[in-house]
Amino acid sequence: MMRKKVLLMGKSGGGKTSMRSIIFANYSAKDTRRLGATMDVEQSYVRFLGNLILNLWDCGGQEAFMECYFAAQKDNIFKNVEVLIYVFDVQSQELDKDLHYYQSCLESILQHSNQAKIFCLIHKMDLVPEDSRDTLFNERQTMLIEISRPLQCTCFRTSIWDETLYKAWSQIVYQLVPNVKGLEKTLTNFADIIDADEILLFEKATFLVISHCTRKPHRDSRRFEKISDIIKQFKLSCSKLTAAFQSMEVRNSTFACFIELLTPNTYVMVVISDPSISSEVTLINIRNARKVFEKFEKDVSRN
Amino acid sequence: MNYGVSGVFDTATNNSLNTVGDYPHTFQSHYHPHSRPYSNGFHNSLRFNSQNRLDDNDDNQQQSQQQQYQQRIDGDYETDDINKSKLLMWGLTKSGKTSIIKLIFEKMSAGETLKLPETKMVQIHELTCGIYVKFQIRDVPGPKMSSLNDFEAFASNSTTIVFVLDITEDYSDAINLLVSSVQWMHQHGHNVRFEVLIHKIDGVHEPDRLERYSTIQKQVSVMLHECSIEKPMINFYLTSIYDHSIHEAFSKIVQNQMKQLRALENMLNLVTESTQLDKIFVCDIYNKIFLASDTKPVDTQLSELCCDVVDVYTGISSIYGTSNNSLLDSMSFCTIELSIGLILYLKDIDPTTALICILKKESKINEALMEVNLNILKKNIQELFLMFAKNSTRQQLNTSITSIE
Repeated sequence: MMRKKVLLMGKSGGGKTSMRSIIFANYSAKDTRRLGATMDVEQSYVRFLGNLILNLWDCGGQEAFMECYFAAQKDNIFKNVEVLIYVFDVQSQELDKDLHYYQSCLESILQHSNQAKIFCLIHKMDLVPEDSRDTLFNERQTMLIEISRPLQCTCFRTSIWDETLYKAWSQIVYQLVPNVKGLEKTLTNFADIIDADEILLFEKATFLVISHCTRKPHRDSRRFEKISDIIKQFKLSCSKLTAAFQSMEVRNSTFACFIELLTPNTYVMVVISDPSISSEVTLINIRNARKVFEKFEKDVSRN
Repeated sequence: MNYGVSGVFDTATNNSLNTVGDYPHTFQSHYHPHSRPYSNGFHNSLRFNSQNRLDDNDDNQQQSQQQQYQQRIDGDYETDDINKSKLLMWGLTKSGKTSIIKLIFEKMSAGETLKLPETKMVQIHELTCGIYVKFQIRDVPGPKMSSLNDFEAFASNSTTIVFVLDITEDYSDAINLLVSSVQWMHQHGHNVRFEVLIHKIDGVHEPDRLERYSTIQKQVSVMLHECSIEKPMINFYLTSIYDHSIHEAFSKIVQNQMKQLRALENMLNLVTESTQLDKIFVCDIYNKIFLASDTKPVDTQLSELCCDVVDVYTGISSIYGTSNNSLLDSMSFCTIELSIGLILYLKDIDPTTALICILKKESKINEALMEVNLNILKKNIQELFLMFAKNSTRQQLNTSITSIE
């Protein structure tokens, strides 16, 4: 069983706990309103892909705690970190202070876990007027990349009210999936055999896209996170009836899309636009592929 | 989730609300010719088909396409004007009338409706739910106090009045306005139905909601009784734009406008009685308004879930469907299997309306047979709508002939 430590840091009220609740705890965006300030560090263990445990350290951002993190608790917090996620509230009036804390984090990371991957989320973008979003994000991104040297950071713009949240977290989680390249190769093989336009692999609980194979180019580059969003919303609706969905088929005259359980921890989405391939054929193919992917997962966890 | 079709909406708001500058708070007594072509199935299919979700580049193309369709629609509407249902959105200012229309018929997100400015001019929306159910909604600037100053002008020819009552404010004024409106209608001999939306119910603590509902209902009927109006045609609904309740309430309001309703319900009842299907809804996929369902009772959460199936279908089809065709075509279907032993099934009736069926997994459905049955149902529903449409034009022709003589 692999454990990977993920640090979630940022100023108080930035949105760290809300994001983590939506992604990992099935909160809806509306539900996050009732979350209170995080006291000190909240650790949670999230089982991901069956054989991986994400140890999330949600570090409360109030000043008193922040000072502590860089002093007394420094070793404890910054050792063995795989991923650092720093959340910037786009509407913060104290940009300098935020950057100062960010730099302190980077120093500590450099000292204790210099292989850690760093992600910066420019959050609450829904509060920025739509026409200024791009410029604002690019500004911040350039600034952060500059400040982070020699470490490298990847920046995302996010909001809990749209699909950008899923895009950022998919990329983050992608870094943590063991043998993700092998997974992609197997997926590509599968896609070639069944002549699919596109295959997406989702983690079952969070519905984040962890792998994909695209054989036919598509016009919408944001479709992965949109689909995560659509399905996650549907899952939330189902949960009101204490139900879960097990499989889905959506089609019209131009495409057919199948969402099925592939392994006990993953869902697969197969998109086929060849109208001559019947549903039954694809479903049989998916069923047969299950054994291959299950074996793959077992092999990975053994290693 | 609404992906904020901002390009299109911004132009819409700028054109029709016109809140820049001073506008006199008076009713303009002529038909407002260029209110946006709202919620016509064709219009909305434009929004979904092109890559317009987050790319704002195709505005100009969309605008010209919309104008083309608007001309087509205007042509259709001229013949139907006489018999069409006319709804009036009524209620105090800031009660939520415009937000409701924008939310349901223009797919504005709830958060965006909060930023809407006060309505200062009358907006007339010609709407359809599913091609054949046509009606007109008049959205008017609401009075600040319960005065009936412009009511006569606003409410001329209305067949139904949708009264929006903001329950988070002191609603005694609103109730006074409601009662005086009902009185006015009664005095002038108009047989008008009032649909009262007890709105913004999300601001009321859940255990108190039913109590408020019955208080308001009682108060209104007592006051009407005092004016000796017995058995007024009033319905009350608890609604909020933040959940499904507004769609449910508006579904019932639209159903009350439909002449085809009884026939449709009978048809659906026949099907559920004689097949393995447990429940069938007829739904407009763009507004998510249920036009009809069979009369078996169903859990509200389950019917909400059926609405969500529409979201899933439109979401995935708009991503993977090719942009030239309509989202919903003759080969559309969507099936979702739930862990509680239910299967949700969506099938098209026409490019804007879909059938949503609930069946139990264990009933061992013969899929081919179900396909056949649903196709027969689909054809019959199409014929039913066509028949009603033809009859109403025939009636209009008859009336125009007699008036010439």
